[in-house]
Amino acid sequence: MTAACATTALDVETQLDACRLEVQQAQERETWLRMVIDTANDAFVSTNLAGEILEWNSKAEELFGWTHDEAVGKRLSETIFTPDVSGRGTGGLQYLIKVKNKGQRIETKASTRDGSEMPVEVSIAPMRIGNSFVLNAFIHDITSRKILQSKLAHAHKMESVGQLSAGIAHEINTPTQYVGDNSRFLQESFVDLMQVFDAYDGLLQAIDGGGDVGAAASRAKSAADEADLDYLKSEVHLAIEQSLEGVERVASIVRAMKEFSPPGSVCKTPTDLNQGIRNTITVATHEWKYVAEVETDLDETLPLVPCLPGDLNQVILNLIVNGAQAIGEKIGEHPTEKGRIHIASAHTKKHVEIRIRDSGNGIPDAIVNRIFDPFFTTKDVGVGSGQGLAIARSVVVEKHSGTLEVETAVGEGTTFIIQLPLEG
Amino acid sequence: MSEVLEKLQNNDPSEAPISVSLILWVDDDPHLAAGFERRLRRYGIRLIHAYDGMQGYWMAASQKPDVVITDLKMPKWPGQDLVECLSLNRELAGIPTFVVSGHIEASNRKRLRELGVTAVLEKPLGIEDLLAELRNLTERQ
Repeated sequence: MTAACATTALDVETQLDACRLEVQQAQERETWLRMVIDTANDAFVSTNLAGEILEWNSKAEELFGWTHDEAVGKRLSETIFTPDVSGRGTGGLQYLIKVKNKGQRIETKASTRDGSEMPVEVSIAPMRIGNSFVLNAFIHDITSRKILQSKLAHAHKMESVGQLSAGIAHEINTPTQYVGDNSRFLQESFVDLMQVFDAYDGLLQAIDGGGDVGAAASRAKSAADEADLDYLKSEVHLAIEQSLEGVERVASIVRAMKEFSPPGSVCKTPTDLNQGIRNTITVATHEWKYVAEVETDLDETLPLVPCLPGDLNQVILNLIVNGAQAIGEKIGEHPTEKGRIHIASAHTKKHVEIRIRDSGNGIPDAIVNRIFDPFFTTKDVGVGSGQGLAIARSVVVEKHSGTLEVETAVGEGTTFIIQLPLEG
Repeated sequence: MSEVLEKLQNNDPSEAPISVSLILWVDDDPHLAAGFERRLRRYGIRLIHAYDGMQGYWMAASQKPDVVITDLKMPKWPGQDLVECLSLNRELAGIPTFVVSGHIEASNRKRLRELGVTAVLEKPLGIEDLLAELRNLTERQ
């Protein structure tokens, strides 16, 4: 073997070693990447643009029930994003990424192999490979977050029901007082009138039986004077009218309270939102009546809106209470004038709109972007827990696919605008 | 007929004297004062109404009632403001004031007493309880 040949053989050996090292490093890198993906706390799913699954990690196996080998090659629409769950056709990630901004986390629902539904948060990133694209998604199970949100919403509802019931007790107390007083006045008046009738009866008997008519007439006159008939004539019908009005007031409060929070409203039902607004104004009377006049401008041709009436009434309540509190802060503890809360409804072919405007202090620019954040509050401890607007947005946006916007001017007031689609 | 009358007449109140003849009742609900007015008339007591604290103050100044009875939560001036203003006016400070309200917390009750309120009563208020307070007032005078 010549020296040249020996050198060439050595070079080949060296190059082979380098190649082997490279292959080994590549394998180690792939193993490492595989481990990164498999040890991720979130499900990792990769698809092509047709929605065919290319990658499926251990967490995806654990969350959704299909093994890696079962899932790869299937379409998303056959596994986790079935059309009946996502309601979004068969587009899968491609559809999700189109409807939302790139990089944004999207809340949706996923199916599992056993047929149940799971609330998830999906974060999608497109990746270009040559002329094609692959979509990579991290999918996070948000079941516990949803349970917590629902518990908080329930706690908030209970808190506002507690607050409302104190107000309602007060609103019912006043008519109860005067209905009672009027009834006792009528009872006393009845006694007086019976005495007058007895005296007149005596007069009739005196006339019929030839008794002392003059004395009987004098007794009848003094009984009538004592009963103060003129006063009774003017007051008895007023006492009856006011009592009936009081009973109707109590009945309307009780009726509004029953309709405000209908039992078992877990499905969207066609609802008269104007009536919901009127009921909510009634049950919240005690919250606004000392600081504001409430005016309504309701679209009487408003169609029935598919919604969860109990949840939407809660939103309107939160906005009315917020408006009243904003006005209360503006007019101070010793007010000489009331503010105004204006509630309007309107509709187009596709939407209904509810506008709730208050003449309070408005919201400063610095915090207006944070008002819908859970637990954000500027109110004193015990007045607000910072959940009212967060829940309002969750109900309008997440549960009804609507929008909730705010227009505000410092010193002048705030308007909240709810828009709901007419097709549920 | 006589049985009915007997039963109803059993509600007749005590005959102890009451020196009060004019009450100013301040409450934002006009029906509430009207109900009391009808019942108090039988005892020779006349009632005038004001619908908020500010109106109550001016009526107290112009009509000089024997007693002022006020609610607490009202538009414009609340009842506590009215009580304070009355106590600060030399001409009106001597008029006994009662507070009649839906719910009065213990701390508020104490504060009202400190402001010189004669009686703090909760709605719904029986006429017998109101008459008892008016008789106490008469005895003290």
